Amino acid sequence: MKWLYVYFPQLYLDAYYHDTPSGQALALKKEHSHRILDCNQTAKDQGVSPGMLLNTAFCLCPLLKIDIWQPHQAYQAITRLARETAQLSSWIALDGEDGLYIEIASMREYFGSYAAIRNKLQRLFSDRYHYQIAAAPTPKCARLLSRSGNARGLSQARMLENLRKLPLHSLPHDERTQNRLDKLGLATLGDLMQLPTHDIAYRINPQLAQELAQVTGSEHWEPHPIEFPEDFTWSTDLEQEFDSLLPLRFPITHGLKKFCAFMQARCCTSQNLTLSLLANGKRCGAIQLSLAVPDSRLESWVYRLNASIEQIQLERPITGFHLKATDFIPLPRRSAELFKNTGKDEDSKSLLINRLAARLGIEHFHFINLSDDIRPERQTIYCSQSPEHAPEPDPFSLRPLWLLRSALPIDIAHYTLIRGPVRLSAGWIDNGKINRDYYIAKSAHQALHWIYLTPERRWMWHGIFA
Amino acid sequence: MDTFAELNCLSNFSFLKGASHPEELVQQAVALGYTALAITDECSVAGVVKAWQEARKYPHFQLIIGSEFHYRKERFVVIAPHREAYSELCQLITHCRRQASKGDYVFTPDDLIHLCPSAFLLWAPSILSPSTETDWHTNLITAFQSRLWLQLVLTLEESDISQRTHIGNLSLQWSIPIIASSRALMHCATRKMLQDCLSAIYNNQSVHSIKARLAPNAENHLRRISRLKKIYSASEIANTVQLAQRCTFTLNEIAYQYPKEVVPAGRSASEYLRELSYQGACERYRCRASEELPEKIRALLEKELSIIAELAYESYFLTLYDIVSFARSQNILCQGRGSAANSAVCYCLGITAVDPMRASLLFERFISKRRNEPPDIDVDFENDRREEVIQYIYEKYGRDRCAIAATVITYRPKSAIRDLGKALGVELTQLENVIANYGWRYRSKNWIDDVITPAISKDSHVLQCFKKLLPQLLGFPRHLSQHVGGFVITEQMLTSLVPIENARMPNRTLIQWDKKDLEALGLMKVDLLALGMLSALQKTLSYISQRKGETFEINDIPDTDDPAVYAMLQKADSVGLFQVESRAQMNMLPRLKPEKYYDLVVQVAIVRPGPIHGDMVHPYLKRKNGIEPADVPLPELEPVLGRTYGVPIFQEQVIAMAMVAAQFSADEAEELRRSMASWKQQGHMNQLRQKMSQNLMLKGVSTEYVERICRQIEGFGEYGFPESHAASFALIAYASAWLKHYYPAEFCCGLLNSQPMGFYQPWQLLQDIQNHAVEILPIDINASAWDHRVIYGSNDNRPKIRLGFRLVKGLKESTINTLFAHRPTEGFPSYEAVMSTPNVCRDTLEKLASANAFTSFGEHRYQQRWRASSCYFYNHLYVGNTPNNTTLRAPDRIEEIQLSYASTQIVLNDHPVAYLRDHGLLQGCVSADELTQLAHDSEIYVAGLVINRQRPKTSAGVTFVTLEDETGSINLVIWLQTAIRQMETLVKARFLKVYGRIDKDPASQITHIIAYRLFDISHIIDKLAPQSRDFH
Repeated sequence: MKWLYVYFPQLYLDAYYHDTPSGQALALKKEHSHRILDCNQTAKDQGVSPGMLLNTAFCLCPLLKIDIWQPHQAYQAITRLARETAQLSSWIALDGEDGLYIEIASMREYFGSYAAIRNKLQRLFSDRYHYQIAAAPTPKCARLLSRSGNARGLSQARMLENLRKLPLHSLPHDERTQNRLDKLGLATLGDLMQLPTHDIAYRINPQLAQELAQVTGSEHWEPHPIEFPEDFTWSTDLEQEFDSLLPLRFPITHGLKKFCAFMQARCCTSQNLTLSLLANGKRCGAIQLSLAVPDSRLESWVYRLNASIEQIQLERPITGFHLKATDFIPLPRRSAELFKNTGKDEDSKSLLINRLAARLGIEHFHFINLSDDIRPERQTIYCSQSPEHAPEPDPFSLRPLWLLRSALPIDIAHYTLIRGPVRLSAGWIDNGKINRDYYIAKSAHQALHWIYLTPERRWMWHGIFA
Repeated sequence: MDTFAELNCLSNFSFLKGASHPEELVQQAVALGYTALAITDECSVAGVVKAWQEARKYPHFQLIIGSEFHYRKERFVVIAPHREAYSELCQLITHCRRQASKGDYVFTPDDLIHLCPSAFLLWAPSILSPSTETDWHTNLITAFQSRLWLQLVLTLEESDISQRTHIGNLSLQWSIPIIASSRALMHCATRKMLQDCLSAIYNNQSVHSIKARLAPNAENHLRRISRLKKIYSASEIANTVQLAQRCTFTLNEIAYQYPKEVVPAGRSASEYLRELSYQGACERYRCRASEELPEKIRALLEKELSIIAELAYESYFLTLYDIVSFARSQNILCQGRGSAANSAVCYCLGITAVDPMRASLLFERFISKRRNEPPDIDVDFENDRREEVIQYIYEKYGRDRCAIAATVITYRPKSAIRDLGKALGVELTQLENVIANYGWRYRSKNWIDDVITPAISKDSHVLQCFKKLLPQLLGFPRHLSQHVGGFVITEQMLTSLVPIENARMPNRTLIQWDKKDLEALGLMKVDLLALGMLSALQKTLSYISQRKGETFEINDIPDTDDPAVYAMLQKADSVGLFQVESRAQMNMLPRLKPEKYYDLVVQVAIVRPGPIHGDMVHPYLKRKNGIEPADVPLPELEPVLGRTYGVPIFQEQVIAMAMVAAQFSADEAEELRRSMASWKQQGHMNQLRQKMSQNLMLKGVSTEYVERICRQIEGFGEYGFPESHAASFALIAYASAWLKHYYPAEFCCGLLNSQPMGFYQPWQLLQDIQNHAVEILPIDINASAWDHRVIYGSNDNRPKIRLGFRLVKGLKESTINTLFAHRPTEGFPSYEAVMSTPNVCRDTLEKLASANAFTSFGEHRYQQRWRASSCYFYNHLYVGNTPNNTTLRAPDRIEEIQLSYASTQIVLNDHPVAYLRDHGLLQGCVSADELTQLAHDSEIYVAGLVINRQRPKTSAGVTFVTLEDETGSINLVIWLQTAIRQMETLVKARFLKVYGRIDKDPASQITHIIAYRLFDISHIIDKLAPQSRDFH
């Protein structure tokens, strides 16, 4: 045999809900769907089953918790498993969000036997996932056997014999095809295999005929192996222990050079780099180096490193360190113009921003954006990413340059009202209701203030105009 | 001047924009001291009648009618100062609505110029992007001249100054006066939360995500005059009031005119109606001259004709007569129902079928001088052919003079919770969970607190808002839909009375007013309804005619007192019969034992919430069956209650009791009739309830009896039957019973060819007819037609039913017609001949093969299907090649059952339960027909397919389940606690095995099984079990 197939019937639940309390009934559904996609055992014990309507499920299990199945998370889960499995074979292929093809013929000699490979897989998955493994000469046959719960490995000779007994619904096909099969009285693969291939193709479904041929091996098919995106990793062992990072500035900088060269060679950029600390080969801590904006230039990373290296206290001496980055962003297209627009030096701006962030600490560095909230104190929001577009300003809005952090009570006798009122009465939705009549008024010192009157007849000062 | 008039106000009939009912707006305007209020819903006058009804309570308050239109960022409000302008407004709205799909409109300022030569116009120009189309500005201003005002809406926003400047400049430039307005979207500022939610619902988003689009404050409401005087100048306010004073139109001026076509030239309506009534009477009573008519009939006719003449309703009756005559001329069965069946004139005109000689009619229930509202006649037509009647009306009167009435779809609890939940940002899955699990049928008056709990949201503020807003949203109009069959027909252009807009159905238009609006304004409406049973009866009659070789019509059905027919009904052999086929009716028939027509009238009406809530059913049955003597609580009630053994069954009897025994005035009785639904509520109905209770008790009626009457009235409020309505329906019920008894095959065929209708699926009808010894022949390529047909044995002339192709899932009639066109008289000789038929595709052949239609060629289904699957390939691509002759195995018995069911939803001559029993899989289970041999209280096992789950409102949580096996039906009763304990099985099982106790009524022998334990055995036949019809 040449191929293994591992089927994970409950991968999403196993990956993301393994620590759900045992009495909690949980089910997944796709967004906008009214049917259960999958559910845990507690839910199944109360009668809930995949494919069931939500309302029926709630009727049977009123405390059922529903979460939305996220396709990208499903993909992440299977990709993670593929990475783990990559230690056993160089040819791993994904099958949807719940299956893996593993080519083993080339690895059998290395591991010794099919059983040894299988044992390694079991050790990899047994504590964490529900799975079914099967092996067969063709990948599609292995898939069929695994998904139908037939875990036995098969030689070429016995493959056809066992395939014949399998029910037809083991082969992937649509409802219309199943309908045709039912109406011809065909129930097993054996029934189908008795028919000439061309008859299956035109009388039933050409894709079904092809699928069958690929299962039996009369038509060759191989899955396309997954290509893992490259990460950057770089490690170094030190000749002695160090209890501070300061003397390691140069070796770390050397690593940063490699990192930047990696990015430049791939025309990408990154915002986050993890510096893992090692003591006697074991990981004993990690430091996250993050920039405010993605950058592939060494000077930004070095600046970042230098800004933080002095503040880092090591808990124990280290004997090595490891650099790793996994998230990369393609570099934006650069203009091919010979004479670049001056005043739009994006490179200098991002360098400046990164330096500021390094100085202040990334947690103290924010971009500002305007929200659509009419409450003045909520109009400005902080965000970690630079906003793409600034919202359209209200052409009639006259707002002060400086908004006080919080409004202060005033004596109206000291003011002359110039303009207003403008009534703002909003915010009930998030329990932050305001009810204010705003005025522009001249203070005793001839400054233009933004003041408001509350329903309780209190005057408050909220801002200053330029 | 301390007065004001708001000239631009949107009610909640600007759907999802206005946040107040029209009545609230009027009340608030009056309370604030406004002299006038203009209801100006967007491209609509849907809310004006309700506003008008409210405004009539305030004689010095003026309601102005108008409508708002939007064009890009400009806003226009058209005001109707007089009758002619009101017509213009209606025609403008019609023009705009008819150009767009349902719910939308298309408007340009040019429409104002062309269609509003006398209406007033308010114009609110945009300040954001002033129009560059100066031509239309100029044209508009020129066209409207002294009928144009600039609308200044100042709502304390930052744009107010710019607005005032811009409008001031325009006013100076064009000498257009300025009026002041709040553009009110709600009657008070506290409705702002609801208005924000409506905006969110309109945009299909949450309030949080559309914050920027919401108004920054709540100033768009009816503001205090003192406030307005601070915002607007005295001249602006004065202009507004003066404009309002120039508007004198009220809806009182709408004078409805009946269509004149129905009266022949040179005759008066009254004279013509009299002639037709007596002519009809002579036909009905088989008299050669009116002098020979029974005295009672002549007296009734004279009485009714006199009232009709006094109220000038002749044309109404003549219009109905014309419609019904058309139907009869086209051989379309029809019959009037409801309170119209109280009328002898309607009977004689052929509109209704209840003979006044045989039933006690109350004409005042139908029309009374006191009520001052037009009559409301509902006529049922054959379901299949009602459209012909509708098209006749459109053709005769023209689309400008007739249209369907609207129905206002309002927010009910579930829809309100869903929409509000979405607006408040509540997680919708959890919301659906709560909605699905709440016992709506048994909700208490505090149901909002029961439903809006932390199960929906952990945010207590959101829950608070939900609880506050939900009662406000309930009852709010959501959109207009077309009435089921209410038609308005006028002499003048309908669009001069009310706008017409497009309905969802193609070629259908509806007016913007609903039934209540039409009644309030005295406009005539006729209800043209569709009844499936009439279609079925008509088909049955045609089959009988074919059998007899001569026409057999509904009037040829002999009198309504055939003992054989009643004997059949008493045995509850009523599957397929009109109104008496449901499980509850079948339970009642052997108990009530109808022996004559009036018993059938009672039968139709008694299984309803009114009599059930009032505990009147058992006393009636006991008295009818002679177990206790008939008795009336008071002597004066003998004429009222005598015919029902002293027990009130009908609405009319309860109203008559209120008048005769409880001294209700005619007005109070009328109010009681109208408002039975609100009998439970506090307020005025409570006073009527107290009056009734006290007066009856004073006369010696027991407290217990009075309470039952009150409960009965509550039940009538939910669903009540007037006696005349029951009488009309009983006629159809009798006709269906007579036909079933004497022509069971033809009747069954009529029902089958009129599906979907009724309570039962085709396979249940077929099973029933097989129990009446009618043979069913399967679908056959050479013998079947599209419809099912009755054929007669050549030897014994016994009727059989040949099933038609219409049963085959997915098959179209047009496809079969192609086959028929090429089918030789002696039938297709072979499969190849069928396959060679032009334009017959593989899909059709496969469907026919799956339905076993090719049995006459000697092959089983699988082989037929195998052949069909090669059709395209060998007939088109490889003509001349021989198809592969693979032999497939024949289906076994269970596969035959499965395939038959999958293809046609029926299984002939077999049953899944029979299969299981034959294979010993139902050991110990008693069959349906064996139950009759077993004693009451016996504990047994039964099993069957779940056909029906029903949890009626009146059953206090009990679920009724019907199982079916090969011998008949088994009725289960599942008490609430049993259901709760075994909910999963009850809800999911399609094949049930039940352990329970026999409950057998000694008198009627009706048998139920009180279920103790349910076992889901669906896995035994997984693919087969049919979909249960669940009623709850």
